[in-house]
Amino acid sequence: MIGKRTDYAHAVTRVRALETRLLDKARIDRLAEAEDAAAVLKILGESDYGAEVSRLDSVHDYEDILRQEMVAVRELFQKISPHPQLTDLFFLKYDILNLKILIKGKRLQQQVDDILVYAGTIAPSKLAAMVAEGRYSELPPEIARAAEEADEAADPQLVDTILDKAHYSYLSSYLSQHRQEFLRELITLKVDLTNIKSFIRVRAAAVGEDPRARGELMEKVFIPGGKLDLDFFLTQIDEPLPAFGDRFARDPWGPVVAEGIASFEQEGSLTTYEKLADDYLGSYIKKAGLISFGPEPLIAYLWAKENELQLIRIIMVGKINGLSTPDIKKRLRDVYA
Amino acid sequence: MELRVNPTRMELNRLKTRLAMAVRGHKLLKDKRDELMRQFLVMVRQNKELREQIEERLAQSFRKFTGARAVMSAEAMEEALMYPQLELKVQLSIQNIMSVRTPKIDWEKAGQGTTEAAYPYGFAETSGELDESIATLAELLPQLLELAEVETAVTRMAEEIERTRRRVNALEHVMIPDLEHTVRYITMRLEENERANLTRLMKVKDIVRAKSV
Repeated sequence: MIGKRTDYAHAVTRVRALETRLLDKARIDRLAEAEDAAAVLKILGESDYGAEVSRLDSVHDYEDILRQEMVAVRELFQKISPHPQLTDLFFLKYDILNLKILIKGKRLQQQVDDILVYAGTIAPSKLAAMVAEGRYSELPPEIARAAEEADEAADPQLVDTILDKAHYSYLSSYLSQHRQEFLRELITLKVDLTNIKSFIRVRAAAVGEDPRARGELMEKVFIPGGKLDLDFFLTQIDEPLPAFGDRFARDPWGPVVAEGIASFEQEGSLTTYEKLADDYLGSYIKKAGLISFGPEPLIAYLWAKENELQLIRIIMVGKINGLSTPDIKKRLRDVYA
Repeated sequence: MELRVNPTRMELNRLKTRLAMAVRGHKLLKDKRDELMRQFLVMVRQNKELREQIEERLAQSFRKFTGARAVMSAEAMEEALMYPQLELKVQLSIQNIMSVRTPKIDWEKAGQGTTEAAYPYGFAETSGELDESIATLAELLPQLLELAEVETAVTRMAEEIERTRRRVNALEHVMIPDLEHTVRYITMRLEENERANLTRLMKVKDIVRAKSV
């Protein structure tokens, strides 16, 4: 455990106050039912996003709102978190994303400054300098090793998978080491649900009927840190998907997999699984509401905010591309508030 | 309308040869037009089928892509797709259909990912819908190249048909009638000259006979 739970008293009070300002289900439904993207922004303008919406020139720039909001959340955490080394873990994914972009950009000799994200724990310019020199000593050793390896990786998929593996294994080992059971379990769940999704994706990938090729792909995209290990997936690589789904009948998230697989078999799409998996994680993290002090409510707020931005993105992309309201709603994750 | 030429026998011969050539050319061009038309229709049908197939699958792929884009940030999407794993070597050559130069596209896969399954991104932070979209696009690529080939050929052939038809029409409605008119005009002028000459000779003969009597 890092510090005492009561260290978080001030921060938790802050996020509890902020939580009340998150968009509620009624508001999200109104957004989804709006006539077009401009109408969505208009409704959004009535909320906390008013200032950002008013600065937009065109509805197509909606990502600017999401970007600014994420940077604002990052700044808030920097200000209020009593133990940034712990809360920063949950912003690490943005650094990992930047690392992937920079390493691929270096390989392609391409300017990538305009696609870097600013919500990470390390300034993108600093990361860019590290990647340019190939010196990653300022990063956690596990990530640094992965970055060096990714630098040498033979194909672009490897760049992603090496960094993903390092990212999640670092997260889970750090959280176990510091006895953050609740957050550790969150990561375990996320990793397991992601690996199950990867498993279905590997099965759907056109690698032919060769189980070896499937196995290799599974090994490549598998991320450590979950309860289900690689061997579990490799032994099932040829089993029919519904039978694979039945394996989880006794797990609390069994219905997620069963329903996700059923919808995948029917429509050939993972949309439902992805939504259900996110909702399941959401329902888990909502339990943080019962914890009075500690890092959990902070991470729950971060998750809620990310979820909210995700919802806005789904609605905006849907409206801009003329998706029907039911199609948009099918993709909408549950609201935290 | 007849041509402005000297009504001489030399000219007549020249025009007759030109007329024969024009008639022959007209027939040949007409045959060419008909054959081009036939092949054109076959290609247009092929093109239509191909385009409909591709458009449907492309729409499907774009729908999936929209789905994936909805759950991934712009940057994550950019990162996933910035470094393609599959490389395609395209070789462009020219083939000749009824003297119409149409492109021929040959291609081969290169790079590390030689199968459709070679997605250039990891699975942890990307949406499953992206795979479906990319896989459809990868499958469609050969057909897209074929469509490019057929569609360019169709455009080129349409141009060639238009040109040939204009030439056939010019021969049929302008050149051949003009030549025929002119030939008739010269023949008539020559015959007229002949008659004038004959009359003149007969007159001279009359005068000479009257004098000698």
